[in-house]
Amino acid sequence: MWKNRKTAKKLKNVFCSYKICGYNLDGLINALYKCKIKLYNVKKDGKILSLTVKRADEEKLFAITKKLCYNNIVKVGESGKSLFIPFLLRNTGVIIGAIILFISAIFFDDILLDFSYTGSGRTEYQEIERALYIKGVKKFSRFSEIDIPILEDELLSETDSFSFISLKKQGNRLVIESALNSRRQQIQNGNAERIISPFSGVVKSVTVYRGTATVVVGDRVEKGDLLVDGYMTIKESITPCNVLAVITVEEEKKIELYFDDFVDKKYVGTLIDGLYEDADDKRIILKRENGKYKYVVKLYYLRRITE
Amino acid sequence: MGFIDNILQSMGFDQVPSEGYKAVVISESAVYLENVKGLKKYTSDEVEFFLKKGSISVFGKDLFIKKYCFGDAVICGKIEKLQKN
Repeated sequence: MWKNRKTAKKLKNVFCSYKICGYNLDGLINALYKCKIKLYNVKKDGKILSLTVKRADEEKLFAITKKLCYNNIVKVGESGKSLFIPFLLRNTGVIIGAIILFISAIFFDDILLDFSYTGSGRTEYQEIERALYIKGVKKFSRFSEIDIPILEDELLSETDSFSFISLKKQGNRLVIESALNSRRQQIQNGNAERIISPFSGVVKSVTVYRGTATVVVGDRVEKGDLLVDGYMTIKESITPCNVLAVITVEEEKKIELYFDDFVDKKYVGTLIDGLYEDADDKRIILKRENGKYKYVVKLYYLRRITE
Repeated sequence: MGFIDNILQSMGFDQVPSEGYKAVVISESAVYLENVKGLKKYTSDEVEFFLKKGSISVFGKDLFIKKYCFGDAVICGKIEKLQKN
């Protein structure tokens, strides 16, 4: 039964089904009818009468059946369009949980968690990343605070390497599609007979327009190694040519720092960031040596070799 | 005014007294009764209602009262016969 009778009366579209057992069930139907109770789905099966009444008439039903000595009344169920209101009242925890879920879904959908770089300009992603950082767009920024069309224009005007930049929100990720500036690529003169690596490191990208690459992505090269040779294989004949290519090599530098006391890697990282701003990436390894804390910092620089 | 009332009016039956009963059989599946005064008999094969004068019976199989209030009743089931007593 409802504790709050006013609430029960408000639920006009909620129906309750009952099964009543007894004699003279026709008389009971007439008694209910005379009391102006709307009866629905009245079915009689021997001594059992099943019927549905509105919740607002529930009290009347009990009063009449009690007066007529129908004690065996079983509530079978409830139905109706307004049934969700009592459901809400009974399950406040579920409702609060659903509201929290809904709000958190909206809130977390608005938070930038990652960047993704696509297009030919992804090799120069550090430049975009730097520009975004200056603009205040970093991890855990809110998408609602970013005006994407304006940011696209600003990035394009403030960077030199790109002819096209497009930003797109994909879930919690900001997808940055960029194309390298064709004018910048024109600095390739195509007069070199071969490309020799001026750095030691790992090959990250190989784009050869003319010539033959002697390395593939992932190869480790030392300073002085041949990257692109000045010949082309046309059908079965080898023809000498000048080289036209762009190779990206990730150069690695190692620095060792010693501390008497333990220092958190985070602070070492901040120190390194301040000292080596141009490094594209870094990795810090902590070792114990002669009672001191040795921090091996590996700095990575992306070097673009264009000929 | 309902659709049936419109039809009745157009056919000149609008002078039917207000206390007169009305019965509409919908296919073989339902009967709609107006101005009934009470339930006289109810089994799964027969439902009989009091009228102001006499009674009306609905015969059929698996009969049940779909709605019963304020002088109106809808009886559903397999309707076989409607009889004024």
